[in-house]
Amino acid sequence: MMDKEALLKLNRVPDGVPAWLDYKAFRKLQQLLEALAPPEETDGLGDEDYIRLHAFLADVAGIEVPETQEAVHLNAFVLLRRGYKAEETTEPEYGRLLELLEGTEEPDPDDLELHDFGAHRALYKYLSEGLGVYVEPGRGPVWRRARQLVEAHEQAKKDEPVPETSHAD
Amino acid sequence: MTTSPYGSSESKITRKEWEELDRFFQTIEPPAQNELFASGDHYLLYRKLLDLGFRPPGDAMEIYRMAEEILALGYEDDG
Repeated sequence: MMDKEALLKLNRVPDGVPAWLDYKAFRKLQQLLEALAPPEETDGLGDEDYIRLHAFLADVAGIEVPETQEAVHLNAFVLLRRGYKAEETTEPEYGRLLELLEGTEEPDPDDLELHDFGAHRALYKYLSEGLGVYVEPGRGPVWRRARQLVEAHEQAKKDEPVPETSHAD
Repeated sequence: MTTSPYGSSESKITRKEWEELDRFFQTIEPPAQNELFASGDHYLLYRKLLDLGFRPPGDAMEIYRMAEEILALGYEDDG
């Protein structure tokens, strides 16, 4: 088993900072990480996929990572765990998302099939045209994207400060 | 529908690998949606699955689910 403490010394993703990538960049990061071969001890990055991801971390995410495969691999994973900055939705938008999600089954996240009609197509249409947010046309990404917008809305409501009640004497 | 972590392969991990994975898996919490502080636990699980020859996705929830499934499928009989 790898030494966790030594590993975490390679981390350059700042602790406690909420997600700053948008959804599109988040998905790109996920694709870049999944394309990597498991990291090896090399001098430098030594592989095109690692070079590409190292550049992404610097240019898009704004984090400078040591030029080793271990460091790039770890930081990409930690950054993915941070999630992405979900768009805000209004109460009617949230309600519409709930309606569209109702009764839909959770598909496999990698399910990229999307029929011309049906619940997932309706969700896709609402997300991309109604809300104008980016999502890949596929049952898995569409369902997850909608679910995460709903969760972000609910979380934002929970985080709202409670208005002070005035007490009449 | 989810696909098997083994794909079309019929062989499973060995008993020793299963026990190591199980021991580690018992020590970690299920991942939350987003993580503001890097614990390293889910990354180590990710690396463990990669070392065992699996190709897990980059998503911690899916990695955790995959590990659960691998453990549920058991290990290769010693014969």
